[in-house]
Amino acid sequence: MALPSSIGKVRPAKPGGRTIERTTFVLPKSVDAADAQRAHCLVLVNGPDAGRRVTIPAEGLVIGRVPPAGLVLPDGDVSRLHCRVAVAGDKVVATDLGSTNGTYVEGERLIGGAELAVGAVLRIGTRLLQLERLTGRQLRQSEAQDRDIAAAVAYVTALLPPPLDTPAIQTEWCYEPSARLGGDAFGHGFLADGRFIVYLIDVAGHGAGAALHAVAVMNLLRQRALPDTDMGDPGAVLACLNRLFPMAAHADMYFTAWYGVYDPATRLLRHASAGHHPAWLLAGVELAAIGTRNPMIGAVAGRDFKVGETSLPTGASLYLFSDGVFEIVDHMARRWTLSDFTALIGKHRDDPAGEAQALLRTVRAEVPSGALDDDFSLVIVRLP
Amino acid sequence: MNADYQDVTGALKVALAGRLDTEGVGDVELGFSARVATSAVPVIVDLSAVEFLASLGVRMFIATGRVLAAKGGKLILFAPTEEVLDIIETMGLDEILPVAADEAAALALAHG
Repeated sequence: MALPSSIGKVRPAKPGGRTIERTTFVLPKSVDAADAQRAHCLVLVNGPDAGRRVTIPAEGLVIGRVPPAGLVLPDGDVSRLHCRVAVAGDKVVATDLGSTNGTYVEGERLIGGAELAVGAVLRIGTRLLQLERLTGRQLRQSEAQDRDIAAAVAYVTALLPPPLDTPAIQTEWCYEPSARLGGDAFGHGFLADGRFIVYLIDVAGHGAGAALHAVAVMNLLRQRALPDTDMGDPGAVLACLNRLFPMAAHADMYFTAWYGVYDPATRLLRHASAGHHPAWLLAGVELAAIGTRNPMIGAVAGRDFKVGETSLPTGASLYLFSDGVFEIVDHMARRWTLSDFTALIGKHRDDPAGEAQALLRTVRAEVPSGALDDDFSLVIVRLP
Repeated sequence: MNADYQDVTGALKVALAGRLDTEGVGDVELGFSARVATSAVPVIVDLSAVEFLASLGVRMFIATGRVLAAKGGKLILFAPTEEVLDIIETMGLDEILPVAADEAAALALAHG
């Protein structure tokens, strides 16, 4: 909302000689004009900075792989200076600058220049950009929302544990929040007696509300601060969370959870899941589901949560993930299921970027836009 | 996402069709909650044409079922596809709301 530039008191003449004093907010015309004036923007639809919005300045915007392009897209298929987008009155015109791989508008290769309609999608290399037209007010609101989401992402990311590298246990993880920000959170660490705990939660829904809920749960788990609860007992931990976070008292939000406690001395894993798909254990070439059936956290009061036990062989790896890693629609318009993702487990172990990052890259490559709808959270625990 | 409401023998039948994802839930949630939560008779929900059930769809069923249960009502899901049944079972929704194989079984539960 625009702030008043000045506040004055006026005394308008009234019939009968009476005057009424009232306060008037005087807004400068420039603010009204700025609010009414519409700006053209390009929204990055896919890639690591999906959701980012770039205003097209009056002098136009050159898009390319390196500066001096105004919008730099570090993509091997983008030419150094690839295309120019200019505003002419109410129109936006895109012109290819002789790029190697071409500029495409709604799938059609651009020959010279062409007008872009609002909503049109521009493809440059592998990157997709959509034209938007916003008022100054909408633009500021959008920027404020983007900042809120970015702050929430930074907060969640700051709470995630550093990867672990000990002789008995190693971890790697990948957390890629979606543009709308889901409610994923995860963590791991050691109890005082040397046992290792690892957990992942996924709050239903998207946005700052889901993220806040996830952060509240994660902070309790990180600080081992569940009241009267043995953090080494997965069933007790989930039961306590179920008591602390009933849906009815938390804006109808529930979450799914997977919680495991591993004893390196005995190689025994005790685990419990609540509304969450199993974790997966890779031992040699054998893949096994590790989970128990319980309802999600917050939905039913007074529940006991079933616990499972599994012995983990030497060299085994445990894969724990949110549904965002497999709930995608691929290039063939086919909706993936859990088994599509589990078929990839172990296939990228030797990837120089790490298996978790390689799995993210592989899944993302299956999505036509390259942008995932939900958070991608994956934790891999290796047990030499 | 579509929702069709029909009075059947002593129950309100809601036939949902489409994908119950974020957008789909947005399409039907207001009407679904209003019609179902105020129903004076048991409610049976036909899932046979629901292609996908996301967490927000599960939340809609649980929240509405809780309101109905608080006044002695019943919400029964029936005829989910194999894929949707898999999601229901993974999330443990079938431990919260009854899930029947078909309409006849749902009506039997409604009047049981």
